[in-house]
Amino acid sequence: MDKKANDTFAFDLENRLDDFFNDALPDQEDPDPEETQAPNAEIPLKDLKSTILAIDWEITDDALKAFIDQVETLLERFEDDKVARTYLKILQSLGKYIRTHKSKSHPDTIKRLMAVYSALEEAVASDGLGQDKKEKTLLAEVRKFQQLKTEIIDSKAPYPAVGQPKTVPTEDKSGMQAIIQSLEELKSMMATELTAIRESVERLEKK
Amino acid sequence: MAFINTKTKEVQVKLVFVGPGRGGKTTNLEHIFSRIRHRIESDMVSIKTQGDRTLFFDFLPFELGAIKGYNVKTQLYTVPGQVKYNATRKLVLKGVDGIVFVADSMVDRRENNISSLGNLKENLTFYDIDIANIPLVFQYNKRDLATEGIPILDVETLEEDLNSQLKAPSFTASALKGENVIPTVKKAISITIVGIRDKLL
Amino acid sequence: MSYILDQEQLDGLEEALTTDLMTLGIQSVILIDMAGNVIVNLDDGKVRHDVYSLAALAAGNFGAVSAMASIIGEEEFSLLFHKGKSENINFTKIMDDFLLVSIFGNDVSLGYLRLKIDEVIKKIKVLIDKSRSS
Repeated sequence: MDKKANDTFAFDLENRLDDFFNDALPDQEDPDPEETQAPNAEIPLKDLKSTILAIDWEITDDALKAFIDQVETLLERFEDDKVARTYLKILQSLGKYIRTHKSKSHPDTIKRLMAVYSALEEAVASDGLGQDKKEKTLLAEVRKFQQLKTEIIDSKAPYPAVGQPKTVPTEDKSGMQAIIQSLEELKSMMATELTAIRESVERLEKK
Repeated sequence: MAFINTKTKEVQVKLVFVGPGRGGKTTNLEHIFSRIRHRIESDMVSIKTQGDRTLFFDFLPFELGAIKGYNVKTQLYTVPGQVKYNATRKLVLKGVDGIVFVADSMVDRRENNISSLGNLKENLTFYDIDIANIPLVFQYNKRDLATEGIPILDVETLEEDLNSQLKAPSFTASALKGENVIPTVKKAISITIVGIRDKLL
Repeated sequence: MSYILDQEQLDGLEEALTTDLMTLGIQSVILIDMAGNVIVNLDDGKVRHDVYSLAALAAGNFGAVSAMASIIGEEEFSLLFHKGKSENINFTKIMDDFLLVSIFGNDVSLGYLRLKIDEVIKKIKVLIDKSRSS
């Protein structure tokens, strides 16, 4: 039966091949493409998360603006959470720095951004996480941020902090001033936050 | 590797056109496409350079319909023929079920035909396939050049160079003129599918 | 479409790619044409890939992805990136004829790398345009 079945199969196949390559058939119309919509996530930190993920893949003005706006909104929301506020302040500075300097940013800036966001997420999400541990992690992140800040200042050493050299093109001048300004902002913000953290740590230690 | 669904009785085979660069592999597929496009859904896909050299593959899928209860689907591919694209060629050959070797009849392409066949053997070995065991059809292409006064190899020489041991079916052809292109591919599909069905039973 | 690049242009391309990209600590940068030919090949000295096969496959891959874009009604995709466990690969089209292939680890952010790539492309365009105007 097998051989016979195979023979007739082969015969039918040959016939089908002949038909296929010779016959004409009416055309088929293409079906219309369908549209789908993705659902939106509305929880506050999730907005920031998706912006951060977008920035990890592509750094655009729009993404950075959205990032800075979202951080500012969250600063109000987390008014009473010192740890979250510090992280958000760092994110704010980093965001503004990257927005100003784009491809000229220090290579580690984005890394810091991602790391600080992760720390923020962890601090906000886990209510079970002890205040001790939260503040320890925070101090570590603050230190790394300070290190980065120092590196940025050091790498700008060729550029004078105060008093511009004689012939400087207009764009360079405003670029340097922008760098100086953002560094000053960072310094004062850091000073305020560090004092606040030291105070809370002292309070904890007294307990 | 043929996709066979014994439950739904569906058979899908992959046929690859191989051969030296500029030998007429893509032209074969283009001709086939022109002959069947009115009755198939898909377009032919060609990934090529601006100079019209195949860069990755040409691809033409179609269904032959039900034959003795088996729904037969065929996928035709070409590979890039140039030597430098061997890594790509190897990739396209993955899962091959049947081969059409498009040889270039031009006299000065004789060595290229031979080395291309050698390369095919190597690539098949990589996938643990013995060239003597896989459905294979030879096409001696560009026969039309003779009428233009361009020297071409005679069939005996081509057979001797390429097919003396394999003794596979062979066709003379002119892909540009569409001569013997369809018979080549029909034979290739036929021996490939029948060969697979043998394994099924 | 053929192009000819002289030694000066090639040196310039190498310099731009080294200064702007290799200094970020990435593993390798390969500038190829759409037919898979290698124009500039830079690496960190630690790994030895089969660059020629990589280039041919990269060009084929890019071609295949472009064909997919057409099928879904897109002119092209702005991002072609493959994420590995420790190494990743990014493809950027330069004009219509060239492709920049970057291989980098997880210590470099893709977004930042793409910013730097945008910068270096401006320099590359200037260098390559020199041969077209002549």
